Amino acid sequence: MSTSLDPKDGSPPEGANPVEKRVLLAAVFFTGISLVLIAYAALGLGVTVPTCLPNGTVFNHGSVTKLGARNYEVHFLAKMWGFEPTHVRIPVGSTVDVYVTSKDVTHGLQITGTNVNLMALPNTITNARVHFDKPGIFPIVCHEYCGASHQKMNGVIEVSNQVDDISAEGLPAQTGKAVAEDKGCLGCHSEDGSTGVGPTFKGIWGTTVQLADGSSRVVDADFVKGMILHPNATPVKGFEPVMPEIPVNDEEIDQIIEYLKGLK
Amino acid sequence: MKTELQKPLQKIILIELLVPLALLVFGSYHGVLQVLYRAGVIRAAAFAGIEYYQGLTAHGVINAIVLTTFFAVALGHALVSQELESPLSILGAGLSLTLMLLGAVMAAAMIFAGKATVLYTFYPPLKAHPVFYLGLAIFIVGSWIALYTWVPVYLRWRRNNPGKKTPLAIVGMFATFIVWQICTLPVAYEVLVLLVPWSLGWTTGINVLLSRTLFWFFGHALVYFWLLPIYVLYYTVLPRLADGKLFSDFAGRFTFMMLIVLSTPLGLHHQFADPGISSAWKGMQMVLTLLVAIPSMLTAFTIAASLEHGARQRGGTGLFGWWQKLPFFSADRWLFSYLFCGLAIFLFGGITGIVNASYSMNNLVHNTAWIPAHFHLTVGGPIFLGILGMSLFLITGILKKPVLSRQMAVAVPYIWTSGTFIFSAGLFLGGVRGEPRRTNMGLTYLNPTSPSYRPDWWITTHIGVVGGCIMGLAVLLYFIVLVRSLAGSRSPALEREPFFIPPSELYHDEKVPALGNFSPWITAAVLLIVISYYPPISDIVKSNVKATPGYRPDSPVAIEKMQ
Repeated sequence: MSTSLDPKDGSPPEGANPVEKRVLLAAVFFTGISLVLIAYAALGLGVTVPTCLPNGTVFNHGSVTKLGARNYEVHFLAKMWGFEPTHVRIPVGSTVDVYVTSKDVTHGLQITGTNVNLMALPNTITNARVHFDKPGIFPIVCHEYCGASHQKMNGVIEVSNQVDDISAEGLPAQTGKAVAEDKGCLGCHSEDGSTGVGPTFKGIWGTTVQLADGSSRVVDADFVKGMILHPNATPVKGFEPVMPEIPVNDEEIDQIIEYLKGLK
Repeated sequence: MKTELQKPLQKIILIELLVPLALLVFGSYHGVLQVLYRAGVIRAAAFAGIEYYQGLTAHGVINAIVLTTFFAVALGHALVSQELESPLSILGAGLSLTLMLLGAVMAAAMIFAGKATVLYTFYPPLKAHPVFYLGLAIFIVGSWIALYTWVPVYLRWRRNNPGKKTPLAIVGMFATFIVWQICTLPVAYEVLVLLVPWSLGWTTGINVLLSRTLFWFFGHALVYFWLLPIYVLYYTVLPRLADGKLFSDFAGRFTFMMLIVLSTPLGLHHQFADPGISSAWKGMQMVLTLLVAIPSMLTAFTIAASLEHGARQRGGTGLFGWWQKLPFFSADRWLFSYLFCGLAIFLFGGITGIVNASYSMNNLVHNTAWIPAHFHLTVGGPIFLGILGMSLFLITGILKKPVLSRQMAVAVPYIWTSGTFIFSAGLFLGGVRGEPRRTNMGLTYLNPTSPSYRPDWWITTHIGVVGGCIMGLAVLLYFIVLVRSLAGSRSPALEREPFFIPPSELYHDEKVPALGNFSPWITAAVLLIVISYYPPISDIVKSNVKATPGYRPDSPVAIEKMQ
């Protein structure tokens, strides 16, 4: 056989080598099969990679939304060093559209045991759809280096037979409530509609309040922020100007605002 | 008869090999520490004054950038001068060396000072000290200058040798640096135009997605830049070490030209999970990535056929029996074991790479421990072993000193290979079970007192510890061989003969005129890059993503205030 490597064959053959040609053809053939299978997975089975979404829909807070029966949307906000929400509980048989963005640096979000594996970049969003048909704990891990405490950044999706609807922990409204309790706000402002030293928080978001100087203001983010930072600059009609200045940072103010929005 | 390399060039090559090997002491130390931190054997944010992520940055920058680039330049100097039988411009080679040393020292100083704990990918908006970014840029520019000293030598050779085939080793080295020149342009733009002014505080905010995309334009071609010099060794040195001839000259030329074309327009396969890039462009670059399998399979066949030729010269027979006749443990052919073990590892590196590149299959493994498992079978396999072996060969050859402790020198690659296989097995298994890469897992996931504790990751991370420690042992033995050989005296027998890198003869030659010229392949590369990268980059620029302020790795509060 002319292609044998036996030294007794003497001088090497001239021209294109038939074995080499066959190897090249085989390489092209196997690569082609791989491509066909990948295309089938993406187009036939619908297992695909994220594509470009409009940036206008970038969100600043995590949230969970019910779209229909066992059909939910979860917005994860990745930030140094945790996810918002931290823990999501859903019933078995749920289909979830996962959206993710970052508040600060580059993060990653993988839901272990699923095909959801996304990068979280600031000012852009990305998404994936996932169906949970078995109960269990599905850990969420940040898999991109995001600073000194990267190893602490994780969360959980809990798929359960015991629940009928979605619920979540670690959302800003809940964090906001914790902040409001921690800073003592709830000592004077009630959650149940009763008037205390200050007006109740219940249903206050979006209403118009009369100020002591006769003007009126809508309770929006600017107003709440102003009240917290400079409590007695614009006292509300009917209440004593006794609110203390309590040190809070921008993030905590944001969380309190989210909490107020939710107190309908 | 080949002539000796010029004395000053010999000195330059020695420095270019010995400096990164000295840095490798730190690079390898931090490699071993990584597996210990990951498994919770070390359960701390820092060890011996160096923080986990700082050590990881050092491990990546030293082993993957500094060592590999210095080696490619040093090997290129030796091969260009030897194969084209011409002295090189010492001014050029010296300037290249000076800039690379300066850049490496700047980057290393910032890493060890804790001012650049941003990992070797330096993803903004994590912000490092400007000296770190500048150091990397100067280092890269230094490596460009090496190429510029070779180009006139090559053009002169072409003029003086009309119709003669360019030596295969030269085709390989030029392919290496053509890929490098193309792929480093966008990262130089990222560093000099985007990152340095931002890091100095002259600009506020950074386009994170654009920076990532420019980085990965460079980041995957980088791996071919690592690999191509090793392919040169496989095609030109390895067959001779096995007493064989290169089976096919065509395969080598075809592979090098194909890699010029395909090395760059495929970086998006690192960004399959990214927002802001259409899945159509991700898909297109996935196809181009898989096309690399064709020259790779041809190379696997050609090298195996060349080894078979050598083994049959050595008395091997039978369909498979000839394998036994290869000089696996020959002390005289110690370099064979480095190249051969690298090939054995690379088989698995290549196959797992196809997994990563296979579009939606990447969802399973993206950024998990699977990824470092894969690239420790590529850059940590054929590339690292090729660099270790060839550096020892070049250093002792230039110094005319015999390699001492040759048995130990032969053992190093086998120990390294067993360590790498064990290490990677742990990380592959851990990766498909969700272990993240680049994470100080001992503090949380491998800490029984932490709420994040993952007992199911105990076994895989500890397999990683076993493998990593064996890899560390192999490097330690290598350094013993190197230091002993350096400390030994010159051999009069070696001093009588000029030192050169022994190129293999051809078994099978074939004239393919299209492979005789770089220009059509460079043109094809540029065209393919424009077609596959212009649309996604233009989308990113046009989509007007808001700029992001910078962050220090230790604080969630932005450094800059954005308007």
